[in-house]
Amino acid sequence: MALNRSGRLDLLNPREVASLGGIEVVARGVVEGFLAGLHRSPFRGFSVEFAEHRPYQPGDELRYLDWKVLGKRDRLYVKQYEEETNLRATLVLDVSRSMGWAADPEKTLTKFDYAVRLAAALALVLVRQRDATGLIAYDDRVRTVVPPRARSGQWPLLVRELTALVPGGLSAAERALPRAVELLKRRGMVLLISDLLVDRERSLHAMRYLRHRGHHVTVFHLMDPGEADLSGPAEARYVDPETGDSVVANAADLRHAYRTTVDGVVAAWRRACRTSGIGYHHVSTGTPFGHALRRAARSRARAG
Amino acid sequence: MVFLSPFALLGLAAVLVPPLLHLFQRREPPVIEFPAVRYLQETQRDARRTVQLQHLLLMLLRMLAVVLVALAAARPVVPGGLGAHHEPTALVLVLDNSLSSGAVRAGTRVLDDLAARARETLRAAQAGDAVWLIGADALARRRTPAELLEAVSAARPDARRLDLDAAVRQGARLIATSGFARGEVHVLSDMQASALGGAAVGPQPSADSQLAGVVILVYHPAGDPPPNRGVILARPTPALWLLGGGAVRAGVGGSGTEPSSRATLALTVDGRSGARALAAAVGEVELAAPRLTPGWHTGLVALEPDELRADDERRFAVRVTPPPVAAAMGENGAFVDQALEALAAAGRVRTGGAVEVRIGPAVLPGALVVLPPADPAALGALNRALGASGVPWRFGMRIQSEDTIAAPTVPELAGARVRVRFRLEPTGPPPSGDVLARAGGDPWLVRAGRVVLVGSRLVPEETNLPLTGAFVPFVGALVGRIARGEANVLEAAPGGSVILPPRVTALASLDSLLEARGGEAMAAPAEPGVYALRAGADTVGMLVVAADPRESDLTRASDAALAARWTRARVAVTDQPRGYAARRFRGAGRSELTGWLLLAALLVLGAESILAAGGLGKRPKTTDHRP
Repeated sequence: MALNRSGRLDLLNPREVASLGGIEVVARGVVEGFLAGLHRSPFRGFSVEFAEHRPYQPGDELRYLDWKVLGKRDRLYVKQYEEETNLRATLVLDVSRSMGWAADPEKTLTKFDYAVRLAAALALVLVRQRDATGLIAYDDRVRTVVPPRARSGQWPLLVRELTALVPGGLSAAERALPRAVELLKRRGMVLLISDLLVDRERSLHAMRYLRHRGHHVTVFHLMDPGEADLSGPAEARYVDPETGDSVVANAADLRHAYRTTVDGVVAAWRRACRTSGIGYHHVSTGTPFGHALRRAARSRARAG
Repeated sequence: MVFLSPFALLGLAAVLVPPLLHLFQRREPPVIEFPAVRYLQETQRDARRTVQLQHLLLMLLRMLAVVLVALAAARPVVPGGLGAHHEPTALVLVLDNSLSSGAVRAGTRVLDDLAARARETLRAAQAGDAVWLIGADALARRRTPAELLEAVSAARPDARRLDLDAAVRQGARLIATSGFARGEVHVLSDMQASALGGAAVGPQPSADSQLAGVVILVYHPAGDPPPNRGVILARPTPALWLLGGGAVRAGVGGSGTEPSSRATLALTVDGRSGARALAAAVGEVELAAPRLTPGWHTGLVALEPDELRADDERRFAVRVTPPPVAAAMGENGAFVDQALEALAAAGRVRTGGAVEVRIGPAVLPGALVVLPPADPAALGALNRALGASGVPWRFGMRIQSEDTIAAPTVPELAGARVRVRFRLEPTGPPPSGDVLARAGGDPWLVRAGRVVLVGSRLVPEETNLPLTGAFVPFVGALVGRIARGEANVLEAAPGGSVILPPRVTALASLDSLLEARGGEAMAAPAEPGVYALRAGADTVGMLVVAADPRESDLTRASDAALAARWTRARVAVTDQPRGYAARRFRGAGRSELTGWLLLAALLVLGAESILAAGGLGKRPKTTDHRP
């Protein structure tokens, strides 16, 4: 694989990055690159109530360096405050069958593979900041639950759980999200990674409920490039792997109309999320992981 | 519009291929796993009508493309257009205004149709062209197109027969010597099969190298020629009538008529109606003439009018004479004397007055029928007398042989046989046309001027003639017609060559007098009719000018026959005015639409491709899905 000039994996093609190794390796590489390009920590707000020190990480703002510790012990530590140490983030990952699809597996990751690696990278960023990070994976039922913890072994645990996941049955976010509410006793951040091939109103209802409980909800709407732009033979029967629904269509006939429909769907999600105070990011699986991370960080910063 | 490759129009059937493919090649499409089926369903709900319209348009475009390609393959051309300019061309227009061109078909005279084509071509001719016009007179006239336009407009059906084969070869020679790189012979004709020169229609490829590569463009009117019936024969029989009348042998010919149909023939002599008779579609009848006074008479045999009027009547001339005063001389036997008596009793021979014709074994002044002497010893004296009288024949050796007489011009001798005869021998070079009958291949009845020699005595010992019913008519023919000479009536086709008898100084018709020189060949007048042969103030014969009987046969030569006739030339035959216009000057006067049609087909296919690839839906603006 030819790395770009800076060698930053966060900016490379996800398919190529994924070929470097397992989820852990990829997540570390992506996060390293991602953090190296930042001037401050991504998901962190700072308050006046000091809580603890932690070792300096590239990307931490220098103004929070504890100069006294540096002077006394010649080590870089940054000061953390009560508000941040209480941040509890839960990654809600859609592992329904539709997530295991890629139009061209040679060029792009499946949505599931992309989501797993993105989740691992997000978790690593959060864990490095000593944020309590958990995981909920679901399809038509909740498949995996890792309660949010800020301990040092949390990320390897998350990675193991992520590695063990496989795409499963129907997608039902409306069932998984209330479960997340049950797990998130304290206000925190919910990061939903899904292709959103679900009933929009019912899913939004669940997200609004989370939001109503004071959680900051961010949705990563994954979409394969082959879903955004229809391509295929002159005529084919397109079958939904989840529901078995099928439709005979000519890709050439519908290409432009389909694109319009997809744009409308994305716009509708974005509009609905904005109305509900939910962060929304449309992420193509061809997009480098770093871009997705950066959007999430930006969104988090805006949320305060 | 005409099509140069009309068979390619069969390709229009391919227009059914797209819909048939659409109907019969429907199959279960391949299955593709696609999670976002809900988006597709939503899209289809919204775009169903648009897609259906798009499919319909695609089908129509594909069918239109097939139609355009098939039409292009058929090479449609239209006259005129932007490409009407042509290279300088040597053009020979053969306008067949022969007698048959006067036929009327579907209300239009054939010549009018042909002349219209000729005028179109002459108008299309350019200043740099060399143009000749050959008509029924077979003369090639080189004039300017404007002058030839006048000549074509003035053209009328001509009684002369045009030999198309000869005209085409003449045209080819003109082109070869013109110095022009391009040349064309246009044959505008009803294309009678008989006009191609005798029996030459058929696979008789010409070896004339001048035809090699010559462009011959043939135009003939469309449709079958009209049925036609014409009088092809009107000949007095016998040629010399005695007082009391005679008959006219009339023949009917033509083409396209029902074989079982009958035609009414009517005889008119000097304006007086004669006999009428029904004749077969093709056949001969004999029409009895009314009683006529001595002298020259003219008449005609007429048919009911049909689509070609010019051959519906045919003229003839006949001389009527009183019965000859005949007398026997010498030892002839009883049969001759009795025959003369029977003829006299019937009024066919007169016995009183100055003897006009003598019959017997002697030579005297005047008309003679010389029979061999009963005594062979007298033969020498008789031959010497004949020689002294300038008769170029003599009696030769006596032959005893049973032979049948062959006499095509003396029907009374049909079937007669001879047992003993003297061979009639010419004293000099054999004179042509004098032998009237032969026996055993030797001359048996000869005529030299007004002297007739018979090879056998007219007795039962030497010929069976006296014992047959034909004897008296034969003797009557001898003294009344043969010895007095034929009627001196010449027949010629219009414009044909004819050798006039000696002494003739002029040809006279009712309204004209044409100077002529007897004994020499001359071209007969182009106008059919009867012309008196004048020797000073005397009428010494008649010239009957009548149309060539072949002109009545309007049967058209097939296109294959034309191509086989001029195998070395590049022959194109058409019966469509537009087709003719499209081909003249090597197609320079036409606009071929093939290129335009192919371009249109290309555009249609391009539109089809765009429609198939892009559809009718509006291309959405590029959407940035970033927050």
